[in-house]
Amino acid sequence: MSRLLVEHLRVDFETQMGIVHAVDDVSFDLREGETLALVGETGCGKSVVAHAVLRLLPQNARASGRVWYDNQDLMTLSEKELSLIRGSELSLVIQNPSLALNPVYSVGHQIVEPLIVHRNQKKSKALQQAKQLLARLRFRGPEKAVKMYPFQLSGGMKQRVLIGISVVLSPGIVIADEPTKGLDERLKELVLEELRLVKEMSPSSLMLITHDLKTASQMSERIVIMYGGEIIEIGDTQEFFENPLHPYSRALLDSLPEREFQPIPGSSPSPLDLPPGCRFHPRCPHRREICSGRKPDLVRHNKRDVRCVLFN
Amino acid sequence: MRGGLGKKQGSPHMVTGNWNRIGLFLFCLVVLVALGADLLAPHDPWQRFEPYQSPSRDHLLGTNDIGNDILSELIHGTRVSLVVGFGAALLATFLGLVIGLVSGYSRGVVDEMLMGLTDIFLMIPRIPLIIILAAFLKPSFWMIGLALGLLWWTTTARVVRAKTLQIREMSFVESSKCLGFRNAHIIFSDVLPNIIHVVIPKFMITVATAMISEASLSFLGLGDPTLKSWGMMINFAFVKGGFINQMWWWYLPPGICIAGVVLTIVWLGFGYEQREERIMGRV
Repeated sequence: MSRLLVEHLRVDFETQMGIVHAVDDVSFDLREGETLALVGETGCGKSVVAHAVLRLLPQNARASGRVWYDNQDLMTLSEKELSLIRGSELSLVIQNPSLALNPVYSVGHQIVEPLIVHRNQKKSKALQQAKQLLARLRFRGPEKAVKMYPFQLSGGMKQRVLIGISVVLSPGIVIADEPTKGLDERLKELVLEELRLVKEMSPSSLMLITHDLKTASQMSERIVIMYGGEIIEIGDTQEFFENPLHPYSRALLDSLPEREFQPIPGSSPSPLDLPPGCRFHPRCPHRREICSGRKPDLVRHNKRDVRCVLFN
Repeated sequence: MRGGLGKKQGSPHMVTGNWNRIGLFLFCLVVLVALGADLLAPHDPWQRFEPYQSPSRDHLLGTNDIGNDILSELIHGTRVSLVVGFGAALLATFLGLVIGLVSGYSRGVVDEMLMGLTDIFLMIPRIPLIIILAAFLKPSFWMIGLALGLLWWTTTARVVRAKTLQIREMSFVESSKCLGFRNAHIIFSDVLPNIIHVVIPKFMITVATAMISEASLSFLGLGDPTLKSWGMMINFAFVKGGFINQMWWWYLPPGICIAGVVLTIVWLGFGYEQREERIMGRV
């Protein structure tokens, strides 16, 4: 059962330097209760996918495609209908927790705000709920924590508060955009632990956006690899790590310090000027002549989808 | 300024600059005088005594051309000045705030139109316009307050818009959108609290400007002749021979009062700004 189905999503940005093709024909689904990792290098379009799903893209963006949730296409809903879904059913934990909290409100106020706005709850009652939530997220001293202001919190605490805010309405789908960025190993563990807790508390589906393969392997059941705005491989996480199919996936795994620590030659393509054919071909060790000519389709291979001529 | 050191200097709320304290004290004094004018004034300002008296024990600042006690006039004038100043500034700040917030938050066509309107209003020479208005309409207290309020919002709108443009791009605004809050909710509960520290000093300056303008208009004889305001007192002193006869007790006190109250309010705004900067610096 898929909770969220993204079909042929395409996002372009109109900039002064030209049109940036950030996301190109991306289709995937998020199943009931699963954790899906969306992995790729910086600039491959993974955050754009998350923002496009919730229609939170900047003004210069042109998005097309379909995003099915609960039998409705989110791309066609009005702003008002969408605002009822955002936060309460589909919530996004945005990047950069140090800036994502409003500096003038206490932690408690920011956690109860969704309850007051979406559920018309009384503030005193909502605050009780906020304290319980913080306690369940293993915050020491929730009584004290609700009265604190963002500037009194550490980076890890802010990230946890942010997770708390986005799950307070127990949404069915949580999208976490780089939740472990900029945190040290110990805090990273703590935040991931919290995301697991969140999933245990409510039967929600989690879409984890990360550039960290280790995080993806620890957390997810299925994995989506993106490169240059396209999906190049989708599959079961365990199988993926045992046997990556796409040359880029293999190179990515080989670049891990635990493995061979082999850097991928070249650099990722600029979304302003994407190579023709397979987008990875200039850096690919297995490239053939056909790779620069025709773009390979995403094809099924051993229960996985992969975009490479090697499997056609 | 961080961590342990912060404690030594007291909590952020306790940090008040000296300007703030002096300003607050004087301002409270002015408000008390305005409120208790009936009790404080030695005479009814409309009561007539012998005109053109020099200061004496009974009339500390003498009497004017029709025999009103000048000290009592001065005390009652505080009310008019404060009400016109704050009334006009409230109206102006409210307009500026709404226009600035909407303009900065919506951007695009709405922004262009509202800022175009602001440009037009900025071009209007304000005092001459009020003089013309006063010439055609019956000059009254309300008209002056309204006219000042409707003309003085432009700079506030500009400042608010600039700040809104900056705040709306911040992650916590995006975060609020992710949580499904409506635009109106985001404007008033996310953006507004983050720009209020810019609006308050601006409001104070507007109060001071409105008070000076009221005084200038009254001095030019365009004020409400039935009201005892400081500007009106100087006007009468000028017209009825106070200046020529060197009756300094007539024209000097209202002048000092205007300058003093304006200075007080500016200090208050300045002190607030300094305090905010100190708190911001610590965060």
